[in-house]
Amino acid sequence: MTEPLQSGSPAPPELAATGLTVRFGTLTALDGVSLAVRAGECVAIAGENGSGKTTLIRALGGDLAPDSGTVELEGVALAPDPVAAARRGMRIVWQDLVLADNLDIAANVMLGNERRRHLLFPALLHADAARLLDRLGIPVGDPARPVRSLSGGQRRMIAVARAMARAPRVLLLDEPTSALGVAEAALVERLITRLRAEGTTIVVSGHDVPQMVRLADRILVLRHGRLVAEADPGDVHPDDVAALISGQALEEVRARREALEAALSAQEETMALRRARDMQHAFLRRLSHELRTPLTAITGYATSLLQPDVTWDDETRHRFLSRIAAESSRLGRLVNDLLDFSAIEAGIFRLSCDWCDLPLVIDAAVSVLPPERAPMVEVRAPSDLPAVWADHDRLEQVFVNLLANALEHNPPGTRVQVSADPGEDTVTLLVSDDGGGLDPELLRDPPSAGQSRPRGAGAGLGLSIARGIVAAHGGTLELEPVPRGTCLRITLPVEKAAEQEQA
Amino acid sequence: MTTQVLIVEDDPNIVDLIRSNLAVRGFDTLVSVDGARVLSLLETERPDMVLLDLMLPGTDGFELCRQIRERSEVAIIVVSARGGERDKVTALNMGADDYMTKPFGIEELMARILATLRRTRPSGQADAEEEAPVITIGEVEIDLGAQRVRRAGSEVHLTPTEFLLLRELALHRGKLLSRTHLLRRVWGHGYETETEYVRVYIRRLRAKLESPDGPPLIVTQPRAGYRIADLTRTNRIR
Repeated sequence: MTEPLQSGSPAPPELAATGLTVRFGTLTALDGVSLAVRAGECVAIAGENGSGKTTLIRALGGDLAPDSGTVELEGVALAPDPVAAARRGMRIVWQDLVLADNLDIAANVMLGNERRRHLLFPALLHADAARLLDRLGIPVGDPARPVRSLSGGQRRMIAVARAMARAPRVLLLDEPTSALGVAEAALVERLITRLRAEGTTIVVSGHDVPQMVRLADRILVLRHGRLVAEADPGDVHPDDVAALISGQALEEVRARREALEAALSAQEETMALRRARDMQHAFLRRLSHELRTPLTAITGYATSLLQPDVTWDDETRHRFLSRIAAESSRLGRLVNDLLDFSAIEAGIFRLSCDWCDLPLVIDAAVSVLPPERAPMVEVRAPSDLPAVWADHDRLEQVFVNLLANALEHNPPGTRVQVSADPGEDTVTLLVSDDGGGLDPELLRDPPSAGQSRPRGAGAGLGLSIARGIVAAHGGTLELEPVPRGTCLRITLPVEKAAEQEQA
Repeated sequence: MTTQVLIVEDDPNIVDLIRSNLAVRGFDTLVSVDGARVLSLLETERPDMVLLDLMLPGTDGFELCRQIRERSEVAIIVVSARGGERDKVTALNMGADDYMTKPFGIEELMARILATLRRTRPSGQADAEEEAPVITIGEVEIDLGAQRVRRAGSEVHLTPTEFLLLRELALHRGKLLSRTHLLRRVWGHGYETETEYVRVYIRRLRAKLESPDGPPLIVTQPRAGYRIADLTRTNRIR
């Protein structure tokens, strides 16, 4: 390769590969491939199926250990470990992407990118996902939609958005428009053009030559695992590139492709499993901490009272016993939350509905709060509020949850407002506080050993349960963006009495 | 003089629990609900012991433990909700003298507090000193009376627990001592299963007293225990 005219030592390229060779059994998938990608450059890898494009993407992204050769990111060797590569800012979007069909758009976009606040406040996950999708100009509508309802092109864009959630240094796209219709491919291409304009370093593989000419700064042509040509999209005809790409026996192409696909799908399954396991692990760790806190107090107070060689005065004994009682109820509430949560997750959550007067539900919730906190809550509900067909106790649980959250996570003296507004066929309820917004502690990643933790954060189930209960009523619970404090919006359907009687 | 314990803990129940139990036994207590004031309290109040919760808001507990140890010889017991072996070894390496996992029974905590205080506040252990006030092993000199250790003529600073462990090994020179024996003699009853404690402290003694190219001072007998080398005899044979 020719060196540009410049003095001194040039900065190392953003991404460089030297002599990459990868064999699968007797098949040589990559044969001594070297390339260099400058920061902000978009490089296309063109080649037929089985030419080694996906293998090259995998080797560049640390997803596969080459038999020989090295990959360097900013002049520093990259270990063949997808997690380490991701940590250094490398993101891969796979051809057969791994979206979780049972999750909604937002959860898929943030999958693996969750922050602690997302686990505590699922509404924030939706807000962050919506912001990211909006920034990238991805038109998929409501982020609460399940991904199985999306088209192929929309799924590709969700996968790209997921890769962009942590502002990667290098984005590797493996055939991002394969198997898409013309209109959908154009949408994905527009997204890549936009990322390129924002200065993201991109390596994209594919075989749509006209598209590559539009997208890339350079086109590298791969055949039989070797780099056979480099083309400048500015002075090459798409037909010439197509000619460079083609020219091999069909049988060989098929054999190579099948071997590569088998290797890739096994790898993807492992990755998806690992991700799911990590999330589960974080949840269990938080839960065990929450269970241990009341348990420590109960054990400690009980064993204090049981000591034969210590005599406690009446006041102390009474205090110890009342703490044991209080912490036992806290433990009981945690267990109830867990049962509710698993019922909601399993879809076997039952409501016993009747006509409910919402102001009464809210009053009941306020009366459950600690007496010193209750005066901080102000309720504003118009007298003409329609009755809703709902489970009184469960709705009360939602308000207790939201109110307790608002009071606990804010400094003392914070006021909480609950307002209700009748709409056309819904009632909208807002629970807002004028506190300092979310506690910055909650915005951190899950703490590891010896690091800080927020107090009273619970197992993070409260909001999930509240959301599940509202959803079981056919309503929604969302975070409402406000300049100060936190505001949660509940929308409940108001059904006509006649319809209800039919049901 | 009463013994003063600094409780660093943000859970009001645990604070009340520990404080009540210490007070009823005649200890003085101080409380810090976060890590920020700990180092200044250490200087102004000079407590005899710190009970340190590892997970305080806004504080890295391990780092705080290291900073306390850097400034002071005070006894440190870490009280943590995390029970992993790795956290325990990390805490010991950061200078903690003992590690308790939540939830704990109060009797065990009190026993650990007393044992740790006994170990870290050495008071005239007069039994063996008269027989062998100074033991010399290779280039290491252990003055049992003055509780001082010199290596190749220059003084080496050992913490009280390190000294007790070295003393126990040196008094039985050449004899194999099991981990359980060392735990019982140095740490006290109730510590028999804490084998990592011995491992961590043996490693520290080696780092302070052995030279990388010289003969080993402490010999590990796999699965059995440790013995201190009888270096004078070895030298004579050479």
